[in-house]
Amino acid sequence: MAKATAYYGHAPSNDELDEFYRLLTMPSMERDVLLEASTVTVSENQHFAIPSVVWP
Amino acid sequence: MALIVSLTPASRLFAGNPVKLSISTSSLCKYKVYVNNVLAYTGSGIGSFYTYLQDIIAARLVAPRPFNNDARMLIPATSGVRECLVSVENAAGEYWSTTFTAYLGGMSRAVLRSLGNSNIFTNRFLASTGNIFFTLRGTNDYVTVKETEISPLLFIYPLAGRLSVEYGGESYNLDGDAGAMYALNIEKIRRAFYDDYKCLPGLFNIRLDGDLVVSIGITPAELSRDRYYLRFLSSLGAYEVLEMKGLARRGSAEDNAETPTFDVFDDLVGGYRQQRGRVALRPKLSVSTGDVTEDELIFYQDMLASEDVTLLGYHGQEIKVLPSSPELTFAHNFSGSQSFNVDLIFSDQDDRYSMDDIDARLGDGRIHTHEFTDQFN
Repeated sequence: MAKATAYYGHAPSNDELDEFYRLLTMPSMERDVLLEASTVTVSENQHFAIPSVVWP
Repeated sequence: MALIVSLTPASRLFAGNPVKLSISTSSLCKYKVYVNNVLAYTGSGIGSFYTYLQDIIAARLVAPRPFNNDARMLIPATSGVRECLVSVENAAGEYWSTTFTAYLGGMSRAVLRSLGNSNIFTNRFLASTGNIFFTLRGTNDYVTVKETEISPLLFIYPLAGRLSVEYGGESYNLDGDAGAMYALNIEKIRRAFYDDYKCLPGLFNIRLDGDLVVSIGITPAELSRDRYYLRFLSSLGAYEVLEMKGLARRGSAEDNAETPTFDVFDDLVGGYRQQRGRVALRPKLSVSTGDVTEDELIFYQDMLASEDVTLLGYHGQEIKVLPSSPELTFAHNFSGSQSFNVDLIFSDQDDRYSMDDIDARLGDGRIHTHEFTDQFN
């Protein structure tokens, strides 16, 4: 998972993947910073939903 | 015409709305109501009469409590559904019976009036497209859930076909029994996409045999220093989570009855002085709702009307509260969003106080306790 790897600087462990998930799902500035750095996909009717996050 | 019986509504119905059994019989008849094969009520009558059965059925329904941390995408939720049978037999030996499925919850009177003879279950909860969930979130075309309010959504598994959840071309099958009640675990679905496909969907589709039923969108929550969560039983018989943000003010609501006082004779001065027992106060929390849009307003009104509201995570506890909003007014023609105050009066009143850190000493590991680790907790 390229994005998580970039975030932690190494292949993330299961605990770090849990942490990454927590960051992505928390309503805070940290999440928004992550979103800026991620590949964000826009779907139909996206105007009412938060962006989906996809990484290579 | 010796025995004519009708039951409305038929087939599937809400136990929170009237269930009318009309009987016309020329000889004495006995009617019996079975709920999940257990005899719940027996009555009798002669001539033309009617009776309402909803309270008998509602007393045997329990709201399901599915949790986000369940490992299943579809969580069976059987406690909010009961199979019922009504049988009528008169002295002449004539017999009539019918079966139906009863669900916890109910619809508003306005909807009941506009429905007329059509059935809400056929029109909405068992429809092949649209919002099939037992929730007031979103519209008929899509469901929106705030990211901080995600909780499993109740629905009836379609009578034919197989459901799946799809995002970005990837999908999971959702296998269930036709006509049974389940809760869709949104949290688990997002986590599965995260684990398996390296993506976190903000919007995904529920499909029936490949055809779109409804989209579920996760909407952003605003940043807030203070956040309170309420779990309440909705009009549709499902537990929902509601977030309140904004500063809360603590206070106490005193019961109206005056605290009794009594006189004690003081030998030293040879007179009486007044004394009282301990005063029981009922804690109260006043919270501002933060910005509420027109779509969300009905959700707040439903919470204010709910008979079962719990404040979650307040000092690490779940506390039953009675919500009210004494000065609830809002512009009839909504534009943008509005905010109003909600009073949460605790259901427990107390005349004894304990120090705040006693729960830590009782083994609930927090910061500044022996259980403290270098991880944030």
